[in-house]
Amino acid sequence: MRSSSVATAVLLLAGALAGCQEPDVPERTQPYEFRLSPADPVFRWPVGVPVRFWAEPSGALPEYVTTGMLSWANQFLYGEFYGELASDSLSADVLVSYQGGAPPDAPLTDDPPVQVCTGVTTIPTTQRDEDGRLRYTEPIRISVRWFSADPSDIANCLQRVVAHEMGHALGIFSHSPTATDLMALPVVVREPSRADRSTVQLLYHTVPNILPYQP
Amino acid sequence: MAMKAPTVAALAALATAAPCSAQVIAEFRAGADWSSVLVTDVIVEEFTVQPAIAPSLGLAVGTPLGPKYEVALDVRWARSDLKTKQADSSRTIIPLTVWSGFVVLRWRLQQRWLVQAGVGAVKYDPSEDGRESTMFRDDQPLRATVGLAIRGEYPVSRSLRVGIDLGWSAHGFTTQALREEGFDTRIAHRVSLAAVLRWSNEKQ
Repeated sequence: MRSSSVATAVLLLAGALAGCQEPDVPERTQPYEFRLSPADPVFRWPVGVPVRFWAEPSGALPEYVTTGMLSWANQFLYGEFYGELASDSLSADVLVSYQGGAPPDAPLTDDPPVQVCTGVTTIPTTQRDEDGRLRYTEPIRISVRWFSADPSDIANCLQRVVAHEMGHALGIFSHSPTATDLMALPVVVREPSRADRSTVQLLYHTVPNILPYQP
Repeated sequence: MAMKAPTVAALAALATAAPCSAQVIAEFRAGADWSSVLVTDVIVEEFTVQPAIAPSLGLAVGTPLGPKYEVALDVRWARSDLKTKQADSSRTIIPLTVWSGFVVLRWRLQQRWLVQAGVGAVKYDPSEDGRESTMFRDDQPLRATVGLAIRGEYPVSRSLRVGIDLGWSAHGFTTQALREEGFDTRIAHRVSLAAVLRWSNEKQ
């Protein structure tokens, strides 16, 4: 009786373990092409290491960069990308600055998007390192500029455009064909969409051909 | 050496409990916990997410309910890396602490064998660094859990026993971020193997 009770307990344990189920993997939104051309080499940041963004300490730019880092990090489930704000531009992986100075301070609003700013991400040239791998020769640079308009429209625009340009800095070099994606032009949303999410997830599970700049 | 401080703390707890007139059982445990896969996903290739085998510590306090039964409150801590495994590669996502607490009912089968069943809760507590890009970015789930265990004991003295405890528990695992992505709740299993030091002032 007693030894049979022990055996029953062991069998219960084994039965419970055998009952492990394999749940379905969810369907995801179709990603778009993240390269300018499918034949282009792939760039993405190494997984599991924070990417250091330096933001010109002027106006609300550091806040926009912080928001952008968090927005993109939130698209992942398995720690593929996360960023941190660097205090020193010399140790940064991505440099973000204004072209023409900071705009007047203004709060962000929910007003409809107005295109009163632009941004450019400069992807550096590559060269082969000692091991023959392609590597960027300098940090990625993002520059944003704004035009005369309502200060809140400028702030809203800059936040959207900084997040968009950070998507390029993450390795999404193309633009989405869907207007409601953050990586579309013109930029009309603040956050990455489902398609942006699928695309950046796909990118960070693709083997890269280009390594980041190493100071 | 790493076990020294918790062992001293447990012995101190036992010494403090000794003057009580009620019958008290106090236990300290140290061992290892294994967890089943928490997530299976496919992005380019299939991969799984699973905590590595975790060193674990625990304390329990209980009282006999009769010659064969006892009830106890059992609290455990385990910490390891949450890892993703794909084909033949593995990567750490984030350090992960798992707390669990059970109210357990024990049944003494023989002088040296105990079985135990418990209900309680399990709490996932990931490290803060980089958490925003993980499945734990929006919540650190607290889930109801059930468990079973079997233990073999050896009396060292009238009031002290040592034992080996093999346990299993199960709970539904999900997080808000996983639900948003379209994942269903998955049953997670945990198996623990631990050495137990048990003190009691039971009349034997």
